[in-house]
Amino acid sequence: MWSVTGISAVLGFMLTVQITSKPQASPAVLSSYLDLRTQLLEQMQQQQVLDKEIAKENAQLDQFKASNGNTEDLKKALENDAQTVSAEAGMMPLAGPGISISIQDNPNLPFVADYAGKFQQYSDQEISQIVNDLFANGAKAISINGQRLVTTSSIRLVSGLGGFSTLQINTYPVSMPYVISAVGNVDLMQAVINVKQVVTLLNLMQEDCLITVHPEANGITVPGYHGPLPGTWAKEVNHS
Amino acid sequence: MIWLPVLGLIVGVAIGFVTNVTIPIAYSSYLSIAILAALDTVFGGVRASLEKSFDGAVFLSGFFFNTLVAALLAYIGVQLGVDLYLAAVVAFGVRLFQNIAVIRRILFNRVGHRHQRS
Repeated sequence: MWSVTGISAVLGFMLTVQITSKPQASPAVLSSYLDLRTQLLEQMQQQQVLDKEIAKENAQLDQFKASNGNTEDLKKALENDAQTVSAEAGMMPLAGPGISISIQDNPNLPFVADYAGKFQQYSDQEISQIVNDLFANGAKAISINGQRLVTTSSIRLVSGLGGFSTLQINTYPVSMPYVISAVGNVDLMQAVINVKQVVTLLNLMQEDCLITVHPEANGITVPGYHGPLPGTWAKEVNHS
Repeated sequence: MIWLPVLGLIVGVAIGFVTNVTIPIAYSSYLSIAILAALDTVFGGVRASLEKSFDGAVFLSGFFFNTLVAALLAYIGVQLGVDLYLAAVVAFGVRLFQNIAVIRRILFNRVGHRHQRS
């Protein structure tokens, strides 16, 4: 009987081990589920935005239809349309709460061999990264040294014959201090700058990074884009 | 004395939960087949004891030998790419149900005898 008891105990142990070793929801499965959920939420938000856009366009269409034959109304509607498009394209100056980030060389900061001088070599990439983070986290409009960033904007580091590099924003050369002005959700923008340790990294590169928060309603103004538009130099070829 | 094996089972389950031993998922199938072999042996032991032919040494050796061979068979099957564990599943499954059927008949007969006596 003792042998049966012992074997029963072993069997019970084996059964428990087998049951408790059953694969639970694995991290990979959980991760893909979360990814899917995030994607779904994003799609739903995007749908809401698009629905609003459709409603807006329909309202505009109604306005055009209503002004059919009335030149004054049609002109007004077209002017409204032009203003909306202009604002969306970044041609209009914007004001609102925001932050400004000022970056300037400071040789008095501690010298760290791995980082010192890197900003001069990669300032375009560093500034692009900051701008991308800001746009991804609440920024509605950004300018760098007064140059408004729009869809066709460029941030380039151009090297000359003497080995000096110049940062160009929208092909306009800019010099230090580089001032990034961003209008948008101040909390989110501040949060991403903290999370990405922008100030610490720039300090390591011997760059001063001064962040000024302007939470008031008209705290910061971002100028409109005044550079050449895509159709300025190149025209579409009409084959018809 | 039927409570002793039940107590053993409870103790085994408790030890399993307390020690919280887990085995890698890859070896889970080997343990499954080993558990099937163990169950077959236990039911064989119950049957033997009901038939008054229980032998402790045969029971113990059968338990460990069958369990190990079943797990080994499954392992070899994986190495060869042949589902050899199915052979063990079928063999132990058939024996398990045969043993259960015999146990059931013996118990029915005993109950029937008691009714006849009373």
